[in-house]
Formats: sequence, structure tokens, C-alpha cells
Amino acid sequence: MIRFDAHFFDGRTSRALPVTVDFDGVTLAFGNEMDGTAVRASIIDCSIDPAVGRTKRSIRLPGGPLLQTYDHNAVRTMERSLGVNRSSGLVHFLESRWKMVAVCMVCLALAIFALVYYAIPHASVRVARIIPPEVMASASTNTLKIFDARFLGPSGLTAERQDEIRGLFEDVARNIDPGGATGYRLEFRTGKTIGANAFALPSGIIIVTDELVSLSESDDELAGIFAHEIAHVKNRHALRSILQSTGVFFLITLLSGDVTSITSFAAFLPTLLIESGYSREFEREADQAAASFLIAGDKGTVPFRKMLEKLDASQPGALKLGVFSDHPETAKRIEHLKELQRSAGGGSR
Amino acid sequence: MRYRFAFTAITGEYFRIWIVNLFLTVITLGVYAAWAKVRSRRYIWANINLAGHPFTFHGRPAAILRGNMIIAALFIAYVSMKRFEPSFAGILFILFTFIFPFLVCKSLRFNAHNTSYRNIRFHFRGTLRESYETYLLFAGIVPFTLFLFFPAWQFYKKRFFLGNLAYGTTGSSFAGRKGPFYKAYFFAVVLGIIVFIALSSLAAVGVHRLTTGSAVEWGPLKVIYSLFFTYLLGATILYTLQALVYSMTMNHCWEKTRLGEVRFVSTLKARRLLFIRITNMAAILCSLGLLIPWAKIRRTRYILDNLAVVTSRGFDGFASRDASDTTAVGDAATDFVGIEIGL
Repeated sequence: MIRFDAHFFDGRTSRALPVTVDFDGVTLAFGNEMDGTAVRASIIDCSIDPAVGRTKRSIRLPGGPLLQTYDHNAVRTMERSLGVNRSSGLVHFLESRWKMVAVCMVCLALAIFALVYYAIPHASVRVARIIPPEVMASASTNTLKIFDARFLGPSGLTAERQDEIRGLFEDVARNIDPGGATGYRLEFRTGKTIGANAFALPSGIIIVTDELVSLSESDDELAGIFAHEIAHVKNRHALRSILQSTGVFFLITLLSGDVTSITSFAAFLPTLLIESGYSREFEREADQAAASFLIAGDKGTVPFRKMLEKLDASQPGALKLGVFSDHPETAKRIEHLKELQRSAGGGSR
Repeated sequence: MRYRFAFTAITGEYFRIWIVNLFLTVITLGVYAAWAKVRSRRYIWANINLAGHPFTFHGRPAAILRGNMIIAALFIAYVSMKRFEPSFAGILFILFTFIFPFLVCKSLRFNAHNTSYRNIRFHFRGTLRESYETYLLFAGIVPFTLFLFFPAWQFYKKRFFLGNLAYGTTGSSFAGRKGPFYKAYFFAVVLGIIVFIALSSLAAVGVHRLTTGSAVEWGPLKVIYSLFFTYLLGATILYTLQALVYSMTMNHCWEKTRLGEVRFVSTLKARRLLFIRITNMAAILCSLGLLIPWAKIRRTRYILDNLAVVTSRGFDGFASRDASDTTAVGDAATDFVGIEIGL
């Protein structure tokens, strides 16, 4: 038999009635002083709202009336006799102890780390395999149109020179992606504002600027660049980047609760950091492909390294964006390429 | 008699609830988000006391889960369209614009109907027609009036919400005017422009000092940097000034809202709310987000401490709406899907 103080609300009016409730293990009973009646309810017909913090507990009687009380012990006894709220009881247990909360915090940090570094990139590889390449075609065509309108002009290279370079490009494509070599196409442009540059569109179109062609001193240097860009397309980096940034957005939305609040606003910076980390990883992957292509042809990574140095020098004074940059700083990439060559057994220098 | 709201939430307690919520949400890949929302909202609601009794939130996680799934589906549809078939994304966007007022109305109904005080539920009586008028028609007019209509639109949004609430059988009425909204936005815009110019010129001088010499030469990158900076600064100022607009307009709105014979008094100070928002932002940034619960409790406490209810008859006389009422059926349907739209 337990006895506790509560407020009774009949559910028809907003009147609050202080009552003393007796619970004998089966029935709740209390007197309603207002109309002099006694209320009895079997505990099996009642429902108890799960506990949240130390807030007032609510016991719902059959038919809509409500009892509210601060007597947490009494309500816990009733919950036990009813056998309800076990799972929310577990959550409440975690929430009530700082030790548990500390464990949750560590696990949360680990979970976020695991998602960002393993789960999201791996899932994106899987999903990218399922999505047919054609879905990116119309987006690619659009991108090229925008680029043509804003940054690029028609190429000034002679048709013979273009054909020569195309021949080289097709060789590289056959080598890197023997199964899908016909899916790649090389386009020539002048880089009006972007200077010496090369980039790949997900549909397999690779654009190279005249400035880059004239910067190169040998076919091997161009071949390295082509291998790098073809690897981007072959490994579906564009699609994976979309998938991964969607994943990150989803994660941030989960963490911040909703899209409109201050938290999502402040989450802008970490999102940027994670995404630029992803694209640096893509660059590394593409560099690796270019390096193994050159090493397999017994040329070593030197031509590609030289090309990277020249590209870097062709854009003087560009701010070093550090952690924010898409392309890892050139020095780091060159170091990585050197390492690749060393592990391949030196190659021919 | 004047009754103050008392907000009894404890930061440490709410922090623990928040962390456990986040942890369970992340490891269940978002499924638990619905349960998390219910728990944190139940905690907040239960700590809002008026005349000795707390508010109660009744939303069921399953309903919120269904709502979350709808929102997620719309989001995924939009993102994939935008990336893969950009020409269709526009059509989808227009479609969303037409669904949005419907979702807003559902969201307001869900939240009102799942809030009770002294075992009497609130209701939202706004119709779909009014919702489309407010969130499609009036919202659509705004860009065509050089945003001069914007304060009026904000006013209509508040009128739609505060004028259509009901506590049991007692409906609310709203007699606010547009004037205070225009005044608030005028102040905010003037202040915003002054602060923006001051801060950006300060920053420009700073950047110039840092990079004198060779560093910044490449044009496009410079443009990207300054655009990025402008965006960040602009967004921060806009977000901060919302606090100013909020205090100036909400004092007026509460004053002009009646619930039966019940009146409201809101005594927010713009300066104080502005200070709270700026320090909250700084605290969240410096703590890498860990102070989010503290900031939320702090802001809610200030707002509720400054809200009071004036009634001569006390709180015992409100009647619950009869369950056989036809709109109660509508409420049951409302409870089936819980959609959260931050307004």
C-alpha cells in the first residue's frame, strides 16, 4: 500500500483538484472532494507517461482523466507492477547518470568519426556502382555549357596537333579503363580565365586547355594528367562526391535537430571541412592511378610531378587554402608521388 | 490576477537528455530522431509552469517518424533531381511551394493538438485556405514588391498562428497591427546595414594588412574568398537581428492576443535578447556545439520569464472540446503524421 499526493484533472474542465491517492498494488483510489464521490481505477486500465528528467509524472486514467504528481518513487512502483515503460526506462537510466552520459558522449564521437571516415565513403562506392552512368549525362552537358559560357573559349590548336593528342589520350584510356575506353572523349578549349587546367566531367568528357598543352614538354607529362582525369571518371568521383556530401548533410541535420536553427548555421564550417577532406582523398586516388600508369610504362612519376610543379607555378600567388583546399597542396602531392615511385622499386629516373 | 510563466528546466539535465538523444539518433541512422524529438519536447513542455501546473506534450514518436520519412523523401527527390536532371528540379521546386502551406498547416495542428495544460488540449483552427493565402499568396507577393511587403507577410504569419489557437473550447483572437512589424524591420535593416559596412570594412583592412605583398594576386580566388566572407558575415548579422525583430514584434503580438478573457503581457527587451543571441552563438561556436542545450534553455528562460498571463477568473473554468466534435476527427488524422517545420 502506498499513498501519494497528486493533482486530479477530470479532462472535461481545466480545474485542478489536489487529491491523496492510495495504491494497493491493483487499484488506485482517491476521494473527489468537489462532488463527494470516490474515484477507483484499476491500474491495468491506466497508462503512465515515461519519465523525463525530474519533471512531473502523468498517470492517465481510463476515459480521459489525469493524475499528475512529483512523487517519482510511487510512480516507479506502479510502473513496475504494470511492467510498462521498460525501454524508455533504459533511456531514462542513461540520461540520469553523468557517467552514462560520458560514455554516450565518447560513443557518439566514435560513431560520428566512423560514419565520416568509413561508413559514408564506403556506402558511396556501393551506391555509385548501382546508379547507371547515364544519370550524370545531362548534368555534365549542362556543366560544360556553363563553363563554355563563362570560363572557356574555342581552342587554337591545329587539327593535326589535336588528333595527335587524342591518339595519346585514347592510349591512356585503354590502359586505365580497358573495359570502358570508348566512353571517354577529349575536348580542347582555351582557358580564358582559368589558365592552364584540365578537368573531367562525370559523363567521360575530359577538357584540357591550350595553356596546359603548351605547358607540357613531353607526351608523358600530358599522359600523366590524362590518367589522373580518367581515373576521376572511372572511379565515379563526381557521383561519389554528391553522395558523400548528401550523407554529410544528413548527418549534420541529425546532429543539429532541424535545418533552420542556429546549430545548422554553425555546422556550415565542419561540413566544409569534411567535404574538402573527401575531395582531397579523391585527388589522392586519381594521383595514385596516374602514378601506377606511368610506373607501369617504365616512366616513373617524374613527368607527372614536373607537370604539377609547372601548374602550381603557372598560378602565382594563389592563396594556400590549407585544410579547405580541394587539391592537396602540390608539395604534399609530389611527396606522395615520390613515395609511390619508391615503393614501386625506384623505376627509371 | 497576473500569472508569470516559470521555466524550471535545468541545464545539466537537459544536456544529458540531449546527448543520449544524439547518440541514439546517430547509431540508429536517424530513426530514433522521432523519439528524441518527443523526449526533448516533453522535457521542455513539462518545465513550463503556469500557476503551478506544467504543460504536457503528447506527440507520438510513430507519427513524427512518418513525418520525418515524408520530409526525407521530398529532400532526396529534390537533391537527386537537382544533380541529375536539373531541368526537372525547377518543376519539383514549384511543386514543393504548393505543398508547403499544406505541411505548415498540418505541423501547426499537430503541435497545438499535442499540447495540453491541466488535461485540456490546445487546438489549431487555421484552415488550409488561410494557410495557402499566407504561405503561398502573400509569400509570393513579397519579391514583386521589392520586399516592402515582407514585414506585412511576417505579420500575416503571426496572425495566422495566434488568431487561430484554441484552448479547449476557448478560441483565441488576434487584433495586432502591421505598424510595429514595419517599425521593427526598419530598425533591423538600418542597424544591419551599418553593422555590415562597419564590420566588412574592418575585415577588409585586416585582410589587406595580413596579405600585403605577394600573397593574394589570383583574381578568381580573391572573389570567392570575399563572397564567402560576405555570405558568412551577412548570414550572421541577419540571424542576430532576428532577435531584435522577435522582441519588438512579439511584445506587440502577445499584447493583442486574447484567449477568452485571458490577456498576455510580454516584456522582452530587444537589447537583452540581442545580447543573449550573440553570446549564445559565440558559446556554441567555442564549445563546438556542446553548449547548444545551455543556449536553448537560456533563451527560452528569458522569453518565458518575460511572458505573463492576466486573468480575473483563474484557470479553472476552461472546458474541453467535446470528443464527438467533427474537427476532433480531423485532429486524429492530424496525429497520424507529425511534421516539424521550423517557423
